[in-house]
Amino acid sequence: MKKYTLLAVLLSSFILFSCDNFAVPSGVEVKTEADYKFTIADIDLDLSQYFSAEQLSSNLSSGAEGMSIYNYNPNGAADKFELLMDMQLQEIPLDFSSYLESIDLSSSLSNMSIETSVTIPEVNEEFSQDISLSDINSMINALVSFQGKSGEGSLSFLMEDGCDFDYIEYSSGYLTVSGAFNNGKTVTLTLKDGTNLTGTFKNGTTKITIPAGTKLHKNGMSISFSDSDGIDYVAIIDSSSQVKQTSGLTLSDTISKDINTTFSIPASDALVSCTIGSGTLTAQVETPETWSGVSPSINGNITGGLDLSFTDGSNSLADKVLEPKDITLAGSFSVSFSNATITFTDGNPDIKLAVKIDSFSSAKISLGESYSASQSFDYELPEEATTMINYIIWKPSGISISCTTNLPTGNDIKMENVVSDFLGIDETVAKSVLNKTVDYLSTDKDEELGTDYHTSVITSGTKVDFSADLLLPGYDDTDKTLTLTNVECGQDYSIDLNIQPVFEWFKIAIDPSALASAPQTGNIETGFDLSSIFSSVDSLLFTEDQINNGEAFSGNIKIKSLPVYIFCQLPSVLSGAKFTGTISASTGSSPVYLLGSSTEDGTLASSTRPVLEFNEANELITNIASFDVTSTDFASLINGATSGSSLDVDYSLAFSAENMNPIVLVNPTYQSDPDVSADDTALTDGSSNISLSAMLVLPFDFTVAKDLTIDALNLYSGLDRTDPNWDLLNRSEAPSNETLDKFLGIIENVSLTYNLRTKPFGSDSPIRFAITIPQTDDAGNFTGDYILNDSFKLSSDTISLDPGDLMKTYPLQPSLNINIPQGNLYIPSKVGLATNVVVGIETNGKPLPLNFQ
Amino acid sequence: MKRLITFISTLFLLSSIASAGNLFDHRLLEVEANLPVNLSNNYFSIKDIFFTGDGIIKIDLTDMANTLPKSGFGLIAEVSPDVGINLNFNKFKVGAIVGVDLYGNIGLGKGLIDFLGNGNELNKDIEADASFNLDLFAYAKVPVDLKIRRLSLNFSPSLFFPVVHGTLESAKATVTNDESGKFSVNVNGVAAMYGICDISKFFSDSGLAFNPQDLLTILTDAFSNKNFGFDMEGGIGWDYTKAFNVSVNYRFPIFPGRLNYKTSVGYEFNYEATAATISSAQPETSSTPMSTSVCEYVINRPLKLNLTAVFDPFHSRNFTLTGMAGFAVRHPFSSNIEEVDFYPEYNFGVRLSLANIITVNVNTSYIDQIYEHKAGLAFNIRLAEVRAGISVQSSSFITSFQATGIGAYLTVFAGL
Repeated sequence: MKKYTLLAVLLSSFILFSCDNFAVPSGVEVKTEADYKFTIADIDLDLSQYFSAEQLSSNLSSGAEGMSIYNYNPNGAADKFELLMDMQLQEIPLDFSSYLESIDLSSSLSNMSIETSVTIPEVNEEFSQDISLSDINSMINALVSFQGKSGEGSLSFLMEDGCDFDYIEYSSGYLTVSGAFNNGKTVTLTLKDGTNLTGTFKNGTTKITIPAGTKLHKNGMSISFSDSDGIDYVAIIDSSSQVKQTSGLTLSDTISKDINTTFSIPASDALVSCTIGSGTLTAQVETPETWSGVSPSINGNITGGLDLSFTDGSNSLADKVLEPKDITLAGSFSVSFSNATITFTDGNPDIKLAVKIDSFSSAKISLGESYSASQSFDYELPEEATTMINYIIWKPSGISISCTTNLPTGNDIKMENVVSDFLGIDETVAKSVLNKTVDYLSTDKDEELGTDYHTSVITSGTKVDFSADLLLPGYDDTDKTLTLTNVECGQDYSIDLNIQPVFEWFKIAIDPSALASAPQTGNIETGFDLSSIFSSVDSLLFTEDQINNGEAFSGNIKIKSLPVYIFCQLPSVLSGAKFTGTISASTGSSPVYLLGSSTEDGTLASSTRPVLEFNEANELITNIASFDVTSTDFASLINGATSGSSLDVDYSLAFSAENMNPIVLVNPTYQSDPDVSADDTALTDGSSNISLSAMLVLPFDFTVAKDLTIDALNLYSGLDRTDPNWDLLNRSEAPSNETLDKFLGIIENVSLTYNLRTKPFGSDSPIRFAITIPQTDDAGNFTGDYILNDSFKLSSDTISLDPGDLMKTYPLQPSLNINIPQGNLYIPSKVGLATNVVVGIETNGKPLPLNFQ
Repeated sequence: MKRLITFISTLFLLSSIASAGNLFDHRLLEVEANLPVNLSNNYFSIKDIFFTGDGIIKIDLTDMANTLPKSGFGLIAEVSPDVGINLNFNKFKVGAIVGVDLYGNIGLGKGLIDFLGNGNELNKDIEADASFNLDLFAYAKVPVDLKIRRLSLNFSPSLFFPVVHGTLESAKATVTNDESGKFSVNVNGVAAMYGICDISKFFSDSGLAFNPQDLLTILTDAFSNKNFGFDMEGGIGWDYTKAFNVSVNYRFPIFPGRLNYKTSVGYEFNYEATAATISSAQPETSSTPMSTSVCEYVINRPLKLNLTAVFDPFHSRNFTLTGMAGFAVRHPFSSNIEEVDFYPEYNFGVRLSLANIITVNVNTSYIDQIYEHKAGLAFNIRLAEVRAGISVQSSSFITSFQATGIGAYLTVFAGL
């Protein structure tokens, strides 16, 4: 067989090795012609945070009081980003009732109002607890154990002094007798009725079963042993033995047990306490009727919501104060036995505690720390009001009190001393307001004016005065509580007392000459500086060198237009009224006048200020330019401003009217009142203010003075370009060229494809960008830029890369320079940078050896 | 003594001659040993591996992606040695054979090969899966052949032990690259091995820790736990004419074998990064340590049923043509329906024999999910017979002609 095997091996070897191509595998080469594509990034930068009203506001050096800045999107159709600055120069309300509304009487009177409810607790709690018989059973078992010597016959019980019993009847149990008796010897306990209980000793002990119904008497029982006399023995009743009945039982110790229980008082938060009218706490121990000679006792304390001590029987709770807290009953129960007869099967002793409150004499309710039952205050009218108002004629005005309660009888609520000289109220007599609405209003006539209403003549120093006192049952101003009487257990009580001021002005006489005599001047420092706006953008997009070399936005970008609109709104009642004077703007140099000139005042005609409307994006969509109002272009002023100079607006305006006589304005509500005369003027809502405002529209539409270059990688937060060794591929060390060459050798082409969905800039000329990679020699010295391409489109394009140049360059610190050409540049209304980048890798089918030997 | 031996030998020889039409048809009493080995894949040929000229195996991933079927790359190994003893009479044969059936396959899904060979579609998940299956049975059977006029019956009750069954319960890798540029890679796999004993005991930190002395204990436990199964092989043949015989052959499970221990191990790998974090992001890996639980895994040997026709035009059995068609079910009646594998089987063969002394046979078949083209040579001098053959094979019909798999068998008979 060996011969055949050898022959087969030789034959096979000859066949294999005779083939030219045979070779033992020593390695593996892999090749592929594949096209791989991966999305490596999806950039979606929302640059609106840098181009927004909020950003501009934060960039303003000082800000301006009375100026608001909005994202402006006229008619919701703007294609370029715009801002609108709204500057309120003057606003004088003619509806002088608003001055009265600004006097916050409601807040002051609200401290007198009451809105509370309480629930008077209903207490009827019972607590019971059984006393376990096991303790008594154990004590009795201890009585029955006895000892002695064999041959004595009589028993010597082990009970303590003071203890005694006649007999004890068991329902079950064992008697264990122990002594130095020989195995097989017996013991016999002869009961009083002659019955024998016998046990046989083993190892010196025997366990005798006590049959049900067995009575062990103290006297009349005997014991005998089959062993020799004189041997000490002890007989112990097993602790598990169950006593059925005992007679003549006397124990030297009492059986005690602690009791403890807690219950809560249901009550509302406003309830402070209740004084109990009548009520009892009952404590008792009930024993089975068949028991005799048993003396129980109980005592303890109640703490928490009630505070008292109690003993056996009924304990009165009258005049005790109940607080809405948890109530704890703690005490102890004890029972003593003297010649007692107990039958265990008749039940257990039962401890019973009961707390029952039948009535409360009073209940104290908290009204809150800020409550005050009395109010007295004087408010000075604003100077504008006292200057321009001659008098106010009131419809009945003052206060209105409404009170709704379900308080029990004897708890009245009254109001007294309601006094106001300003409103002509003087009610000093106390009046009940219980469950009714009571008005304290001015009612006196004005004979001089011939009206039935009170007139307040306004002079300098005129005050709005008011005082009132509320009388509440048992009110304690220190504790801010009231005390109700005659309350019932379990009853809900509520008080809803509301006091509201009533201001119903009928006519107001104003003196226009007061306005004319007070020329309005002012200055608004907008803090608006074009360079400051672009400074934040410059720091984001440009390098420090570019900024220092004047190759950033600041200084190279001019705004195309900056229209300013002035709105002068005059109420129709002031027909012929006008503002005259000057409005000028400056940026640190010579001012530009919107109204008048440096030598002559101008006159502002009346114009309607537009109502500002906003869309869901909180953009102002009202088209300001569509209103009939003159505008001035501040573009040249802003463009000519020196760096650091912000836009200031100065105005000096005098109000004048052709008719300088007092004007009597009638409340629009009472225009039909018969007391309205032909000379009176109705005041309508749309003309209640004198308003002077300026609106400045800033479109982000610029001219670029020269070509600018932005490195878009500055926008990529994933790179720490402050690190001199930052690497686009986040590598920490140069890769191995040997390894790289093996893999790069199978790559035919690498491409990056991008598609710009949202652009950060718009321009009339195409915006293109270039990618450059600084090259270094082995020593790390800069040898020049490798320019990948300098005219990629800022829309979508494909960049072909030489992976060797990228992968072998370390650190790879390319620049992605976007070229903004000289000409026009604008920021789109939806400003951002959104693009996705897809990398494509094509392999060339060349073999890649995987055995790197 | 010599006389006695000579007498017995002469008696056997005369009996054989008397009971056989041909002196070399069969031995009256023989022992046999059979060792078939098959190893195949569905892509790499022997030439690709051993006849590269420079010893470098060249893997063309693009060609693999374009050539391989949807099921991907597959590797199958099958070894089924047996030894036995047969007692052959003219109309009745009976034997006793013990042997081992080992069948294993490994699969690599097409997804990974397609990705490596052709690339991918943008933002579409790349998925790759793998499969593994291993069955090892030990068996003992008693084949019995009966010839009653034109009817031939054979049946072979078999007692088999399912020694081990291995499978990959899950093996999948998914690479996701979404439109935001995020890459995520998830790889998870759970391998399970069912055995008649706790297989984890055979593994230690230093590798295999199998003690042959434990084998007796294992077998004893297997008997006491009734791990063995029982199936019946056989066939019914009918000589339609002297030249044409048809038969139905089968293997039916009767009583399944049981595997009482399941040893499993799992691994999971997760990696998520963007282009900016791809070098710094750390993968999360977790592995489930090898653990064994008690179970009752029921397993049968493959069910088979086929129809065979033998054409013997010269009634001499020196030239026969054989055709077989049927089907088989791997893991029949398994509670896990995914493991039930139905597949067809066929065989066509030509046998040319010279007085049954020198025999040549050529077959092409698809059996046990392997396409095989086999040539065999047998040399019989009655006292001993040696059969040997080689085959080219593959789990793919096309590559089976390219020698992407090889097989060989060697069978030795010795007797009187």
